[in-house]
Amino acid sequence: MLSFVVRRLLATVLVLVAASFVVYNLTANYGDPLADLKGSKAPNRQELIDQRIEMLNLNEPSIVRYVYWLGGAAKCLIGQCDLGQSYIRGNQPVTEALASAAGSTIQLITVSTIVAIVFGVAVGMITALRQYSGFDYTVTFFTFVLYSLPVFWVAVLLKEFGAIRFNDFMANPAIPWWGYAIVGLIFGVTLMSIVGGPSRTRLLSFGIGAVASVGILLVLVLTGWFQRPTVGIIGILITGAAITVVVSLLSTGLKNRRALMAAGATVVVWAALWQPLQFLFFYVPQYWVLLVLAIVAIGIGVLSGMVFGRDDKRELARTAAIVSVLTYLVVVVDRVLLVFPDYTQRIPLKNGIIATIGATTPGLRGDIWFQMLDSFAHLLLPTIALTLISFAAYTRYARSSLLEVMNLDYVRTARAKGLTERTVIMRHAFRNAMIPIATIVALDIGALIGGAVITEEVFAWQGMGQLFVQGLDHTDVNLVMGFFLLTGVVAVIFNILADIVYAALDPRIRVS
Amino acid sequence: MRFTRIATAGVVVAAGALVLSGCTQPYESEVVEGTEITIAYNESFFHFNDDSGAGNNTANGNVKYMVDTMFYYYDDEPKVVRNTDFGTYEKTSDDPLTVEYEINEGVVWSDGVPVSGADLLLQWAAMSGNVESDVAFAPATTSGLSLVTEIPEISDRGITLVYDEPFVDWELAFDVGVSAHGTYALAFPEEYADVQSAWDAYSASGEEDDFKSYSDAAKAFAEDATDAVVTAIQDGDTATIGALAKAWNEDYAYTTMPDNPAKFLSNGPYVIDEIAEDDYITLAANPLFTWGPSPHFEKITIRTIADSTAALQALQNGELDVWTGQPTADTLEIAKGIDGAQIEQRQEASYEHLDLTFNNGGPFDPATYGGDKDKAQKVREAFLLTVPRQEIVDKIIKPLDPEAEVRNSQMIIPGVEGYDKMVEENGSATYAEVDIEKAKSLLAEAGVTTPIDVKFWYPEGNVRRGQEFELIAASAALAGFNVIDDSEPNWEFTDPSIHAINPHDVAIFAWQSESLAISGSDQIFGTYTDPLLKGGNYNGYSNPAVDEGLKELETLTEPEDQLAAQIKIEQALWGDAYGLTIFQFPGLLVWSANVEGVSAMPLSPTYLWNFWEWTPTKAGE
Repeated sequence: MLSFVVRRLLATVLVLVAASFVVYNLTANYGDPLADLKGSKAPNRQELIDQRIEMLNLNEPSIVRYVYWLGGAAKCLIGQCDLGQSYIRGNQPVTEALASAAGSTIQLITVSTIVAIVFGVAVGMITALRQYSGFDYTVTFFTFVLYSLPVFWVAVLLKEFGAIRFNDFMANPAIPWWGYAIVGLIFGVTLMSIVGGPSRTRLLSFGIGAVASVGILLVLVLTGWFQRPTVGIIGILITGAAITVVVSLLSTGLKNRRALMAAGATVVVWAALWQPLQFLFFYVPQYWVLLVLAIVAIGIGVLSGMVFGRDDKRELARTAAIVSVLTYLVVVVDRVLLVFPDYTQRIPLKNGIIATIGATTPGLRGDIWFQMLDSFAHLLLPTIALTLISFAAYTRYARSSLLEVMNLDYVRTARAKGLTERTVIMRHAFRNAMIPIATIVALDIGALIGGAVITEEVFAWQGMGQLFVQGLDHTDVNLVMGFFLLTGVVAVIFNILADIVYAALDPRIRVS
Repeated sequence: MRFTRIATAGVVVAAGALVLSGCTQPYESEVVEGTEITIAYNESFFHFNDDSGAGNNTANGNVKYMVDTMFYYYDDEPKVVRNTDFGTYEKTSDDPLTVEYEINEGVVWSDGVPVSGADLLLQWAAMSGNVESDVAFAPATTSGLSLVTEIPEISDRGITLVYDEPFVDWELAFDVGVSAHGTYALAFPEEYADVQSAWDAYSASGEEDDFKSYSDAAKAFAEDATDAVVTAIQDGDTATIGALAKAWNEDYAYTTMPDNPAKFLSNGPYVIDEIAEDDYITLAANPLFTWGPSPHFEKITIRTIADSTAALQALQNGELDVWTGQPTADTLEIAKGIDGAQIEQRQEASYEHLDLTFNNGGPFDPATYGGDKDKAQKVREAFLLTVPRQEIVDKIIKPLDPEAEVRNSQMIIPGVEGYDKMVEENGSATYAEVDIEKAKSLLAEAGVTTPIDVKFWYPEGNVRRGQEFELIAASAALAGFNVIDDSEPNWEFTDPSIHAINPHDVAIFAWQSESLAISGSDQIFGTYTDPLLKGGNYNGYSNPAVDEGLKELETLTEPEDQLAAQIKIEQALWGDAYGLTIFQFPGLLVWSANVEGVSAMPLSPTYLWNFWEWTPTKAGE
């Protein structure tokens, strides 16, 4: 194992050196760092040009400059990185610029990566289970449409409909009758195709989906929820119940009454804790409190599982813990929404809260609840944009992977043993289907760090992509190389990780 | 921020604003509490000293324009307006050129220390390049001040600059920069420890008393510090000056809010309040400010937004209040569709022009015709007569700016004083209309065989210039020119190390004027001997009369003389069929219903020029 990692790392260094040589020289010769000065009519033009030539050693050929750069970069190995200075950023050391930009990019891609994986895999699996159904074809069609859409165009549309118009809608939520009809139709058809079965079941599920979605929407509009969104204790109980049903369905099956009770008990516990928690949230608005409570949430779940479980304590504890954590998140959302009216007063938007640019509202005053709502308002659109792109790939991979596994002998054996379909899918097929996905996820994260260039640009998000574009625009070679080095290293590390994870997940493979 | 409190709060009189002294006017702050405005620029602030080579960037200049006061500014005409609330300057002698600057009493830095002669002396030391030191100052420019070689005399609040030679742009050559005591504090931080701890106490508490003790500590420190700066410069103490220079060059560079208050001392209507790295910078009204018109917004935030569609959608969503940029058909449409927003379409300072190459052995080079200057002249004139400037403006620019016109001067921006007189007299009228017949007869007179190959350069990939090329090529073909697409993306002809002589016969690109400075034309129109030092003279133009005129121009200090000299130069340029100016770049300024009083200005700092006149509106409530 160790020798594998060492060998891979050595190869990595060689690859990086070779690649950096190519990138450095391409960048250095691609543009002209003096371009802006050459078009200037300023009286001190020549002085400025001379200054910059001296600073960037432009009189040396790019190969010589590369050697200088490599000398500084090599110091990274002894922890004293010198990646040069960025002339377009007032000679700021490139390492500093990278640190800030990388933090911002990680913030941007974390949620979208998680959402894309969870939903992509879920949808992919459902399409695999309903292979060649209308649902399968519809999802396939839409994922490919999404996959092929240019992100800057999606972003413009998202801003128009997801922010500007949605914000107007939040202020004055009037939905015409056909709006309800369309929502009902979409949810009804979706539920119908997911559930499947004979036509009676289909009709029933269509009815449930349509009525429930229209009903919920109607209640939200009539109670003025869009103007003043809240969850409240009743909302916590309802969503908690829904979470319990869904998680139990996937984890233990609805027939397992004790599992349902264990999970349901955690929801009740959170509902009971709701009132006292309000005081805690008010007096100690700190992020560490939220973290501690998250651990408590797991504890509550495990405890509940222990109490209700017999010989299946482990399984119940796991189910209850998941339900407990999710319900806890609803409690947090409830608290965040409490500041909603104040928040809308403190931001510059005319209506609503969805922002189209940046990571925060400049100069926003308020505690962590305001900050959380603010982050949500700013992250929503870029997250959707990024999710839509990677979502498509995950559904395809998950679908084909699960299909392949479902046709294997051991799955047939499992079925022959008389296991329920749920157990066969979730416990036997799903796990093995995830092995190739794990590799893809690792590679994808590496690519995303540097690959969100356009998304960052259109959402005015100051991350790695911006740095790269800036550097390339002005032929600031040091900045471009800093970007290259960081994304290159991340990509390579995740590559190695993928190999190791692969070996860990699949006992048939051994790294050596 | 919805301005819910505007109506009730009304106009708040800032506590510190009523400090009256004997000779200043009573001052009333008009800052409205709780009002904020968000504007955008496509790059982030990174350097507080925009006079330094490293900090010389519009993103920094924008911030400095609002946190500092200056002896003059450009209004929207644009013309130079003297800022007499801040200080005065006067040319007291023409021989030698002597200019006296005096800052008004009561003008203070944001820590309460008066702006003094020491600040002005440091600025001279840094920007003139005439001071010896262990570490050299690295200013963005020394033009003008380099002519002031003697150490200037200073008074309590003034300085007297004596130029060795007359200098045409003396009025634009000097202004207050960063503070002397702040720079000293950065150079010798250990002496600043008391002030720093007083500042730390104030920034933790925000109490007025703590500000007072910080201000007192700063004043006590500044007394010695300004003396030390003045003494070092006057005595030529190269070690101390070197330390100051190092601080001046490097220590003002930051992208996050610094802990050290010396790094953001300013003397204008606003002070830096908050910086989110690469994302935005927020300025807050300076409570000590009394020397000039009061601004109205309590806070101004400059966000970094590079993408124009993103900026306009943000404006539509209410996240942004003002945006400016070059319009495209798309952005213009979005801007016009924004509810309640107002737009102003005004020309920017960049202008498109076309230059003929005089020295590359092409059709416009006398050498091609065995040194027959007359023949080459006729070919050049014939070509310029075929360039459909009006058609270019009508077809390409008018859709973006209905009021666009053909530009007819090489040296003066349309709208600026003197432009009309210049156009009347400079000889540009010859090329007012396309005249194919005259072009044909000129070619016949010259006795050249048509078609004549003309290698035409434009930046490859630039759609607008590609269209211009098409229009010109079609028109020139009628007279017998075969215009060849010689486009290339890298502007290689501008790099003398690649092409000592421009290989293209015609080049079309834009010059950008950044100020009303008159000097600087010599590097475009002046004769050069060493191709590596040809500056912006990419077309090998050389005319002794122009050289002489340019040289004379540098020394004229009266506006009328300057205009007369400029007209003489342009007459020679147009007479030589140097090339053509075509149009001014269209600009687009959009602002939301939350603000009124915004207006466009072609030069830097563009629409920021009258930020103190921006007023929150009722619609913002």
